[in-house]
Amino acid sequence: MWKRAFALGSSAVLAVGILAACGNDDGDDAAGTTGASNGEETTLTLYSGRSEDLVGPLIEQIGYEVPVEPRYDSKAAQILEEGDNSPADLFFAQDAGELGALANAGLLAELPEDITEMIPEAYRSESNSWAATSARSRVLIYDPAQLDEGDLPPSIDGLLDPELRGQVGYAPTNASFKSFVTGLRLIRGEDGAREWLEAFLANEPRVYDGNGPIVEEVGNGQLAAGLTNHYYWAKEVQEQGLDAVSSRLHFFSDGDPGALMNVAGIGVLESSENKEQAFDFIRQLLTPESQAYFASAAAGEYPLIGDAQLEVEGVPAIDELQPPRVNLDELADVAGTEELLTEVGAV
Amino acid sequence: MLTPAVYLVVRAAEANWTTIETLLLRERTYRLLINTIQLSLAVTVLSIVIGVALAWCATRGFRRGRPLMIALLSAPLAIPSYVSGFVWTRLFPGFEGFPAAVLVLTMACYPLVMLPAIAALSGLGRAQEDAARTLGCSPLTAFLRVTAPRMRTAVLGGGLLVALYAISDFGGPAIVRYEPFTVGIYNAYNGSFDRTAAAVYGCVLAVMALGLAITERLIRRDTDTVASVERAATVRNSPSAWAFSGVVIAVGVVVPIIGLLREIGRSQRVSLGSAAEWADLAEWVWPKASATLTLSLQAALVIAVLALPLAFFVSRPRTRTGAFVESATYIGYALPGVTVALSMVFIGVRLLPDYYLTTAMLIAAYVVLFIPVCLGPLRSTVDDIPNGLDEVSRTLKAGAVATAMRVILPIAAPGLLAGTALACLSVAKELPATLMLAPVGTRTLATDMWSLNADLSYGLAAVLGLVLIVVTSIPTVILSSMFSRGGESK
Repeated sequence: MWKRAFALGSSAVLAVGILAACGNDDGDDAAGTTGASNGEETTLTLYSGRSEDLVGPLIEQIGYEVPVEPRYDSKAAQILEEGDNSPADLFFAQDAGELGALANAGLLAELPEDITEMIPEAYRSESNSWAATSARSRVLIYDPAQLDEGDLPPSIDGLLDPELRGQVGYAPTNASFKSFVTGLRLIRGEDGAREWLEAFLANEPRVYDGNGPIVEEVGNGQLAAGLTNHYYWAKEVQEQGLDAVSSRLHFFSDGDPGALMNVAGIGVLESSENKEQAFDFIRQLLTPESQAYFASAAAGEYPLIGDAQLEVEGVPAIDELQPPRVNLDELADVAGTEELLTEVGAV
Repeated sequence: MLTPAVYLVVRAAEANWTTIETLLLRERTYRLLINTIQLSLAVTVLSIVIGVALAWCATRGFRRGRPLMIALLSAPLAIPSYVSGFVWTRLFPGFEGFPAAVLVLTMACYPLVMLPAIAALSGLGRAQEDAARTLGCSPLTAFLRVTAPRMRTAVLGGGLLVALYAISDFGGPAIVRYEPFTVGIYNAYNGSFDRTAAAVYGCVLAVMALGLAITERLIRRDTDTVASVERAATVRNSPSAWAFSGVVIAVGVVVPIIGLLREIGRSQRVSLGSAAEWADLAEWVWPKASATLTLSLQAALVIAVLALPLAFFVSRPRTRTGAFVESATYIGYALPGVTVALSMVFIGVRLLPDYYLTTAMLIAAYVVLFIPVCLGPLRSTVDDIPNGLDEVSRTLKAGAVATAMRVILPIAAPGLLAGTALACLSVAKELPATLMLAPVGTRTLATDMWSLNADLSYGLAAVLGLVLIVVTSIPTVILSSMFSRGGESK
């Protein structure tokens, strides 16, 4: 008998006691940040899909103007589960596809026109539900010891060459690879994309879990080349110095799908009670000063506004690139891409 | 405890037959399942062999330095599998695939067997082994034939935890380029956020988990324990115990530490030339280290407090309800952390909005995720309490509380302490739930290490990795010095 009594009694009393004890103070904090108190003094809650290392200094800087509490490394999936109850006012996404997923779920508020008009036309969301903040190009990272720059193809079709069998790396579960495939579908149609993917898989590419391992293996000579985003190479250079990094970047040209220019961006949650202030935060992200931050070695991305030039040696300026023209809103069809990747057996 | 299960059912119910067909009934799913089963089998067998051998070393082979050795031998549990995988692939380019995945996961998992086994062994005396020796058995045979069977419940429980961990992990196998079944789940959260697909895959894992839990329960059966008074086992300094432990520590702890130090050396972003730079680094690390330690201690305490009554409920007397409750607790451990975390988001934000993004809810998530690692070793010691011992105590006029405190608790203590240590280490390296549910501004060593790694800031990530190993060794030293006492020196 004592077993049951002991079991039930002690579990209830102790657990509730301890949970309540450690919950109290934090509970008050959270209430303070998410509640809509009066006017300007409210602190915004920012879910950032981008990391603190990448955008922390910029957000801290803007925070002096527009008070904000960031939660770094958040995923859109969390906001989708939270739905209308989300404590977030803003979502700063790594990729246009993520913002598209939130917009499609009806969770993003429409942005005022003055914000959308700040952004160059090619990078605007036609639905007005999010604002692009910086751009990145898809690239082929390669090991100059194994491949000659001169021999590298201008198009992803060159990756189907039997000479590259088993030598190209890719990260099929990665969001930026999926955006590339979405771009491929938009440019070449469903059948064209399937054809390329099947031929690519038949050439036995090596599967990686993410962009970091691709950069690493090309760097140490285990892999001849890999599909990734340009700024991962910039981060590797920041980490180890250009002298220690043997890999180089190859940009596909002439509007090839492999030269897709994708964006990071930000949106305001429809459920936010501080929308005006959240819009102010976005305006601050789009000033030339903030944009210059994206061009710094810490971020290594292409700014969209102002004349700041990318401060990473070995990466061409944005006007030297020849990306395909793609409607960024349409990159939101990641579900269609996943269906195709499942069909061809890549995921 | 059933939050993840409810969530999975809600989300998976959105799937129609075509979805399930395209996701599950294809050759690739079959291949991935085979991958995961092979991996899980190899890791479980190896973890049991290594874990039991180390438990013998720790309880019989070291006369001095036992708590420190146990802490060192437990340290690999605190190293996230993706970190050790990362280190191995960078130190030894080309080391990848099945062997690498087995090595990485075995190192992350054998403490799940070792600690419960130590707890079980430290309660066993030498009488039966002595008898075997007088009948002509060698020390090894005597151990294997007489003592090992008495550790069966503890070892089986640990083996179950290892198998569950191995089927649910993604980061460790993925970084060494071995594709596990969970890749489908991660893929779904990485793109279209197809939560239905993730839930369908999650259900498959949950079924596997229940299957494993039931299998373990069947193998375990009832142990018939009799009360016996034994002389404590002899402890001597065994060179082979030291050598074997040394090899395991080299592979499980020293190699990762060397790899992390190498990253720090290669990084331009970590410079430690002056005292001021050390101070800056310390100032940067401190809040994360203290949050990690506080959270893991709080969570381990809550988990221990909840596991104790639960262990009695599920094991004495054994009922169908008990069996159901026990199996249900394993679901949280067998699912990828991201699924459990999203289930807590889903339920938490709707039912307890005031507690959403508070430490309280984060700790509740840790309980759901990790109560089995505490319950396992604890239950095996509770199972070994001889039947009727409490009645004896009661006839001697001890009250229910006195019996619990003075008779039962001391016997269950080694299992409780081992389980608490396991819970503490598991919480310290936890990633997805911490990312999603921690209060605004709370960052742990694990979350920032992961984030920096993803940004290729390997040097700074390595600093956090080293700190994590050091920080988590503190509770392990304390807990292991509490339960590894006893044993007579010769």
